[in-house]
Amino acid sequence: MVTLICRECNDDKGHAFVHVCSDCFGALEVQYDLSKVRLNREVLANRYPSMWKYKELLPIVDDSKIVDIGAGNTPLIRADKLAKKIGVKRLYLKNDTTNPTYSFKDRPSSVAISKALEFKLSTVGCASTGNLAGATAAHAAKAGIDCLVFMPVSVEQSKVQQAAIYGARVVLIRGTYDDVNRLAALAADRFGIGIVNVNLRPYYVEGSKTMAFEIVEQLGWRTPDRIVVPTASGALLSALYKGLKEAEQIGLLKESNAAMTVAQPLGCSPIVEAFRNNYSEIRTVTTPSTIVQSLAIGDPGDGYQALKVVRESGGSCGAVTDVEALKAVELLASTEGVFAEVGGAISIAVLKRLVDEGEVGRDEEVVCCVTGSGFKTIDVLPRPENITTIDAKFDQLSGLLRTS
Amino acid sequence: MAKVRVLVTSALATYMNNEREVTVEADSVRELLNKLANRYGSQLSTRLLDESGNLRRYINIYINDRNIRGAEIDQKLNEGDEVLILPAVSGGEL
Repeated sequence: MVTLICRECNDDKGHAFVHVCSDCFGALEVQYDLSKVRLNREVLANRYPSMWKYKELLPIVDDSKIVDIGAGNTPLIRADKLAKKIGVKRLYLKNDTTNPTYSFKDRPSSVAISKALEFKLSTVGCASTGNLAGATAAHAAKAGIDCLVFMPVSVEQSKVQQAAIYGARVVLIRGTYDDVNRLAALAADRFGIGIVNVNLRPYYVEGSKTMAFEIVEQLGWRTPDRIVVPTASGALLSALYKGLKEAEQIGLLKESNAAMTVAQPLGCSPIVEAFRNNYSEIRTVTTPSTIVQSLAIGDPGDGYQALKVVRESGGSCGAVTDVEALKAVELLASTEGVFAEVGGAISIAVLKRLVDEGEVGRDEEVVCCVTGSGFKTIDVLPRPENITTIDAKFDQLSGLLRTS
Repeated sequence: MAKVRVLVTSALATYMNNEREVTVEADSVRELLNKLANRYGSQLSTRLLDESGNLRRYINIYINDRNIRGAEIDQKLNEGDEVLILPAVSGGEL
């Protein structure tokens, strides 16, 4: 059974196409009757490896509507060289760059588009900083429904091209992500479009939980000491935590005690600011100033929930400069062979900073979520110095190899 | 007094006789909210403002596309301004 519960007033809103509580406007969250979920480790070990193997903990009521292009089942890589460089005992990378559209966004999109089919919607869309646009468009293409994606005009060209190639109508808006989000909310309200991260949001965020299920299953059904999560709206961090708690409640995990840790760019870090200064409110960043476009959300929709999760789990928050984030892209690629986008590698940069500051213990086992592929933000990377061009002549080749 | 256009989404319109666009004369956001409260009653006002008269955490108000915060509730309004009232939990990516 799937129902929506208000996070603020706990009212039960049933299973419906709604996203805010009609009584108090609080956020709605999917709740399952966990007492009826029959899942155990052995059953899961024998299922086809996909995010949908955890479907009892996903909000789908009609399996025939599932839209699956192969999201999930991404590697958890032990990163010993990087652990040594950063100075932690053990480090794993949850490498979500390997998803079908090259970011973790395929997980929530797969769920959201499946729900759109269940609710018989003819058009879907999203407000996106880039990655979600491609993921929504790809799943809409597979589902055979129209798609309209909204992005700030400043988004990397590769992400715009990617969304367009799947056949979505791409609308670039001269403004910030928060402007895009505001217009998408009006599109959802006035035109009945299923905007995956607006009016399908309670269902959409559930897909991200599968990353947490995979992490603990790949670790042998236990949690690491800490999970570091690239954070913009706070939805991913909150979903991962919810997933861990549900896995614990149905007995898949003995206990879940990972310290959930937020990673943001310094030029747009409203959640980090609120945490570090103990503010009771999250102060909007009106004009984000960072090259990390995928995390440039000044008004985080799930910011309060993310703060609650960080505090409840004994986690932490960290922000790094763009230079640190770029260095992390290079470090991750050159030590572990994982090429991440700058918003995906920021978890590495923040972990390093928190270890250096003494906020994270050197004896910890940490999982860093790496959320998107480097090919998506190639424009912002400095030109590497280790590139040489020569004529197709052996003399030039041997000269080059002799001197290097 | 400034005449402003107010836009709301369906969730809020439920408490405004299902009107999603209305015109209000008010010189500040606070005055605008008070006028809406007078027009549509406490069902609406308790959802916008808390017991101390502060804007609720889950309500976002935009004046001409600029998001104002609780502290700016006394923000002045000008003739022709467009005011959008949205539930805050309505988006975000990662």
